[in-house]
Amino acid sequence: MKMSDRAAASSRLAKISDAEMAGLLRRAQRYDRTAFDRLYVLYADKIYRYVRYRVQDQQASEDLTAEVFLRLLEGIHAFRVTERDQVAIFSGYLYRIAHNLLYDYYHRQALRPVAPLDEQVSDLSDSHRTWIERGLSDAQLHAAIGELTEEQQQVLVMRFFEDMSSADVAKVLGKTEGAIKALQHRALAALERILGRTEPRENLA
Amino acid sequence: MTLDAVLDECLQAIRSGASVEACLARYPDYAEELEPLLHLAARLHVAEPLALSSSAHAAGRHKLGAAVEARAAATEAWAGPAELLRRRVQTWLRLPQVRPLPRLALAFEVVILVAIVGAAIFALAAGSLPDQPLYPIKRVAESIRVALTPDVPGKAQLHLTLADRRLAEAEILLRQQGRVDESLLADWNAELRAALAAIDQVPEQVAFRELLALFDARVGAQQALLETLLVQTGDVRHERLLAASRTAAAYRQLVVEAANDPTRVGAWLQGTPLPMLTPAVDLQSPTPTPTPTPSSTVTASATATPSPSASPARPPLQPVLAPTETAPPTAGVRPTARGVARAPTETPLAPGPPTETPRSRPTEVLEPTATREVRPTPRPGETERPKPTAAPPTPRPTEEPEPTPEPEPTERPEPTHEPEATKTRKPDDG
Repeated sequence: MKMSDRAAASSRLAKISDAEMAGLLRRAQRYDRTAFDRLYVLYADKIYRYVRYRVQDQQASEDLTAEVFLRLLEGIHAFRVTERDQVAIFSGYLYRIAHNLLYDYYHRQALRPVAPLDEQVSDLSDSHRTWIERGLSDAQLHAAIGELTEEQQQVLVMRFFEDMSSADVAKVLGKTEGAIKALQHRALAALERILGRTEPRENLA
Repeated sequence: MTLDAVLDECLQAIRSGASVEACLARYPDYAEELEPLLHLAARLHVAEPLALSSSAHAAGRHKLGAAVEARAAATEAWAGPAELLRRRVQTWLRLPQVRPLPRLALAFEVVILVAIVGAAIFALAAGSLPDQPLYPIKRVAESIRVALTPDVPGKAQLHLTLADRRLAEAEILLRQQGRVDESLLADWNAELRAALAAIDQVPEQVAFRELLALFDARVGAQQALLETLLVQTGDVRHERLLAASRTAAAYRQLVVEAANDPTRVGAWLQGTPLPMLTPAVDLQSPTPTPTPTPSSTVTASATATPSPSASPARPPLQPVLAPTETAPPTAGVRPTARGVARAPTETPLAPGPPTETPRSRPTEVLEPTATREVRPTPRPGETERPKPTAAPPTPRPTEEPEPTPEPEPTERPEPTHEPEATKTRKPDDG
């Protein structure tokens, strides 16, 4: 899977200042279509990522992603626009919408989120070959990430796929930078253990 | 430096292009733990992130755009011209934009809030006293109420209510601060006069008499209150209370006269510019307390009369009452008029006190009220009094149409009061 132009654009656009974001949100609150479009381009893939690691079904993940933005449209008028940390605050807000939607989704499907890693750690590999020796596809990697806890997933995704600093991640997740550093440590260690198991599942594309 | 921090630093370095090996060399103490993590991090860096398929991305984008359009249209339609105007003005003035929905909701809330606060203020003001900040609001609210009352009888009753209020305020001030507020009494008097003026405008005789009876009852109650206060307070405040009490008596006397001749009210209103009696009279007045006329009798008279009056216009009243004229020369005549039957007994009493005669004009008017014999007020001094004629109860003939109104006389057979009321009071005051 090659990084598309769209993804590149989104990545570039992701570098938005707090002031820009504040202006964008004010326009969005007036139901300015172009403002919403910009927000969509900025966040659609991020939200999809967040959803996809937790939902097995791809179609459902896409639908849920679209739904997040419709929810944003419904609630935007109540969003309090500030100048400070606007990007991080809005990101957290959008992830919270996604989180709530996921909760509803699980509830509807009578499904449970993928069991947290800690419950599966005992299921260790009998193979002593590392993932490096075995080789590792992106799909296997994403599948392994999908087995992490939600916080671990978010930290890894933000740090490695969205090129965010620990400080920025801390703002979005509402934690201290120290907590984020510890979290990313645990996340990498957990991912390493998962990849050390026999055969990672490969159902994520 | 903790492992967490070292790891973070290495991750930052790798992201900037450094190799895993360089990092491990830099932190040899942590190398063993760091190595697998850093290799994994390097792998993650080159992984292609999950992303929406192009079609899904486009579909979601389109869906959102359509929803935004629909929402904008709905908001626009709902906002209406006022909202559009506001937006335009906002643009002109370059005011910061605010969400339309909450703004309108805010305006609504402000209106509600103002209404609630206003109601609360008026409610608070209603219980205020003249020396309190909200009192002017209370008075303004009252005058608005008067102005908004369309019918004459309603106005008359409202004025009576307001007269009650003024007197109640005066009483509270008196009890709380020990002072008699002259302006309140003047206002009280003005309300009574306004009530009377309103009553005078009522064309129908029945309604007129009913209102007159109501007026008499209210003034009677007010007079009783004044009497009570008079008994309970010291001499200094006496003057004004006494004057007020006399004023009440004068009003009630007028009601009696009006019962015979409805035109009296109008004439009185014209001829008596300042109904309040001058307090000057009081100086001598330690004695005077003619006012005590029992209200009951008066009301009775007023109510009683209506029966004969079938005619729409107000004709001169029944001559029936007239006989009283025969009674003794002094003012006593008037009072007798009300209770015909009682007349005989009363006459002797009224003239009794010598002090009354010297009084000035106003006081004379009151004299009729000399009927004080009836005075209900229970005084300790009463007993001393020799009762000249206990007659009052007995004479009461059955003919009287008004049995109800006069409970007092019947109850108390003791005409003891008649002797100088003043004297009785004196002990109290002292």
